[in-house]
Amino acid sequence: MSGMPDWDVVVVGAGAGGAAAAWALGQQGMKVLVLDAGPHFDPLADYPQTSPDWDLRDFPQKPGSQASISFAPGQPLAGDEPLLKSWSRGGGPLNLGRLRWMDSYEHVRGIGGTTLHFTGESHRMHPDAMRMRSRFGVAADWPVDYGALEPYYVQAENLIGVAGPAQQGSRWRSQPFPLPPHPLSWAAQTVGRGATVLGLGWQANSRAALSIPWRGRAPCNYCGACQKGCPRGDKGSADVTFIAAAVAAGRCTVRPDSPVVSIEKGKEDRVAAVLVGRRGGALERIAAPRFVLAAGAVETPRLLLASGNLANESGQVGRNFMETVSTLVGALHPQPQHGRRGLPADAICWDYNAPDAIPGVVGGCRFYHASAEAGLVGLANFAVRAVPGWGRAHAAAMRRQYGHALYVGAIGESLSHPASRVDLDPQKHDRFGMPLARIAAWLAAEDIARLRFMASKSRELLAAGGADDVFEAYSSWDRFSASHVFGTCRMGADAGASVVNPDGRSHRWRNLWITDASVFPSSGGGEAPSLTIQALALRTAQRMAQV
Amino acid sequence: LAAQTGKSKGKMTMEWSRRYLLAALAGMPLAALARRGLAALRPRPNAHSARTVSAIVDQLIPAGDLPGAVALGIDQRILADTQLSQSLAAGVAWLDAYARRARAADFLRLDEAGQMAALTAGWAAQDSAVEQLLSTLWYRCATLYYSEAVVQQSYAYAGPPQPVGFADFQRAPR
Repeated sequence: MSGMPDWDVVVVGAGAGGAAAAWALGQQGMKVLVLDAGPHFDPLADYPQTSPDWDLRDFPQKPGSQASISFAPGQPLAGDEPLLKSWSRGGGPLNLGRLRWMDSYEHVRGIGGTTLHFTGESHRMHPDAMRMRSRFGVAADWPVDYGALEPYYVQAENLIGVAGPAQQGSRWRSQPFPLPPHPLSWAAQTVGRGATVLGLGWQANSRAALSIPWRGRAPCNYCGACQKGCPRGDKGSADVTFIAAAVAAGRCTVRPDSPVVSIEKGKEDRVAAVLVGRRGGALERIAAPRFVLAAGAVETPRLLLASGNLANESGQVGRNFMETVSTLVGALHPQPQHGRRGLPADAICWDYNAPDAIPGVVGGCRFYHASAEAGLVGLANFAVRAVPGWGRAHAAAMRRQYGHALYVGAIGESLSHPASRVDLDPQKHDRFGMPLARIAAWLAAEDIARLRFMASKSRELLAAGGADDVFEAYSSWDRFSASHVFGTCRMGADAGASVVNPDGRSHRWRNLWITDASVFPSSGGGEAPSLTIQALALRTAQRMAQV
Repeated sequence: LAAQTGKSKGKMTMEWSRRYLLAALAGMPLAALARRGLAALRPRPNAHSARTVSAIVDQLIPAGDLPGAVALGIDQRILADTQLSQSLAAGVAWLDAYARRARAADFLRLDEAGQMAALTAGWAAQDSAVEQLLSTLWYRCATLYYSEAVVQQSYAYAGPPQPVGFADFQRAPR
């Protein structure tokens, strides 16, 4: 034994950012070890989507696949917000209290991370949404611009196999999407007629799902169950794209069920090792010359804070937390739509995505066809959510209405509130004694104004498409349930106001990089973040190899 | 489910619509809610309570163009694998008391119209044990019933997503 580390770099987290970094570092000739706290999932065994009770099954949980999260008390709900209250015809109001319900941080721990259950939207940031401070005086500017990221977007899109249209407005492209866009589903076409009536754009969404065979993977068969887990492997989750490619290249080892519970500081501003929790509470020490953190915007700051306040010289670790600002409106159409057929989120309206596109509100949003994403796709959910009552009247209504639901979703910019942050719960710990991450999330006044616009415009879209019988509506105003989270280890050129530099490297710790959404200085106007996470990770990996 | 409601009220100083939680709305996975329900395991109901549960289930989803819930054994599955909370005894007692006011010995002795009237009154008794019982039974009954293959086969596009997906996704539903 030489006593030298076995790895050139250890990557913590096998989701979008960790997987992309691992692949790119391997391409640079480095030996990479990827650690993930969660398990390995077998798509055909774990989520085949063939059982009669498929409608009741969410993406499966396995031991270790969910982090325990703590939540600070919710924000007081001020005033009456009829457009923003969450309710359904079958269940009544969601929240009868006076505080926002801090419900959930939607994530998956495991090889592939949260991409295992993501819808698979594959978006580039709007260029103007990366300059929120200089243009609008809010959030922070990105220290890299769209042009610097564009080559890495191309690289990621090609490896994943992204299908998309020829043009996406301000998101200029040096190359076309590698795959042709998916055709719109019947239900998306119906909503699209509404968009036309309103004079709005409505186009194929760019999707990490194969429209044609791609690099040995079969194309999508439009089952609509992306969020429950794709058994065919046509959805471009990180396990079947970057991880598979990294392992195939021969320089990457992946270890599931390996939670990193602490990072050990070394000499001369270098990190020495990570400590990995093992069964029975034992810890395994793994040393390496370089470390990449990619555990997401909740677990990455938790790990740093729990490791002796590592990399927090600026005091910004855990600050600037941004969440998923979203609305969802469902309405019944007179004609059957059966919107579960086709890709979820197959169509999108970008018209209000620019930071100054919503009248009187800073920060943009986007609208999309959400019928297959809303969870109301099978009989069981429809029976308890959409149709009130019971008995013969309920059965008759089921016959009349099943398949008639249409949904429009909207996701918007999240402006970090001073009270929004991730810190360590002083009382709750995991089985290794590591404090739990605690999420505090408050909506800024601009966020609430944007939510009103999103909810109102969603109703207009549905009504213009012929679906004006709204039977349920939800928003993040009265319920925190975030899947897109950002900002807790902001990147920037100013070491006093950020955690990592423009290359994703800790300002102080010379062999420590971060490649997840925690580095985002702003959230974007509702763009799905995974592609940008991956583009940033590819860029960071290239810069690492030059150090 | 009761534990979930209690947690919300106790630790988060909020009040939640129990019926909403039972209906598992807004992305809350139904299966996850069902699992939470399992945490509140209670002793099996006595014979009278079990017969009352079956009678309620028969009213919630009666036979029509399809077999009713009882014919598909939904009541027995609920009794076997659903952890009916402490509201069961109180809820049954409420329904029996309603029946006695209607000059019947208990809920089981009411005719169909009488049972429907009792259940309607029970649903309307907000924040009561009987409303909690009926909400729980309805959630379990509806989700189990509409997950039955024989029921799904009678609706278009109601079966599992795979292995064939939807080749006709661009066209009007058949």
